[in-house]
Amino acid sequence: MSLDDALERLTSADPRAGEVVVLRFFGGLTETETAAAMNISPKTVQRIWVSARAWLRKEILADLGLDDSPV
Amino acid sequence: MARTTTPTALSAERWQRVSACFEQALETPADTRVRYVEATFAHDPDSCREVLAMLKASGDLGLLFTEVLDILTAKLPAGHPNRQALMGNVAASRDRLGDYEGAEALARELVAQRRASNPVVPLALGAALEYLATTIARRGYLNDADSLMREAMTLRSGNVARTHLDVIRGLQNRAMIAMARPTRRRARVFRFRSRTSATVDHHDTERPVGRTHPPPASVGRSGAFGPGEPGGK
Repeated sequence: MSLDDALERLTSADPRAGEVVVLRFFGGLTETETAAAMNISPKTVQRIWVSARAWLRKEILADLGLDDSPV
Repeated sequence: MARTTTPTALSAERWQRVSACFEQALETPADTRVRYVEATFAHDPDSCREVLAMLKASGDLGLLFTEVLDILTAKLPAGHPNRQALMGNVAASRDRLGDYEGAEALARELVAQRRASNPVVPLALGAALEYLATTIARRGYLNDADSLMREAMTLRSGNVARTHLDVIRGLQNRAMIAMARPTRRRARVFRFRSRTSATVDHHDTERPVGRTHPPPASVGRSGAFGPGEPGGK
């Protein structure tokens, strides 16, 4: 599974989270810029970004078989 | 290594539940997070595992790429060109994450490997030397950085045109290193040369230039390499 696949799954569940990832990670926008682009608050962007990033990372780690260590 | 678990379906409802618990867990003291998640999803073990995995993975995404590159690098034999390219990428990734010591260690290893290559590829070694120079310059070792840049430029001077991008970028980096040292006049010389591509710095002589070029906004004592100037290693 690639980052694209994981991102697609995330976007289908939450289009807003997918958009935040695209703007922040691929677009290089700051939280404030992303918030302005999406017309939401920076706090919301931060909240979505932290969850989306963790979920994507989890998916990629699982894909690499690196997800078996304890929390 | 391959995935050991099948990806779970991620519905909108599930994402909402999982992300809400994850956010709340982050607000919870670290030593009680696991208990909080387990209590929240006492009857939903899949969601529980998902949030715990997210907590484990909640570091910087950049760190993930560094880890991935580390794994890929380790799979290739020493001296393999792709391994060297990956090492450069890992070093750059560590550098971006602020792990300057880790970046320097990798950059030094990369230089050593390229020096040991048979035959030595001057441009590849020059690029590794330049990367090491900019890395240690960021840590304040400006004299060593300048020596490495000089070596890199000497390697390039016999192999590429004076207008080659590597030469121009190298001169710009020498200018930035010189700006950070108390040798502003040298910085002006290197900047002038990088702009005109008129000469390549073979002998490191300081030649006066006809007029002073104002430094670009990105170049300056505080802009290029950050604080700290031990002045030599």
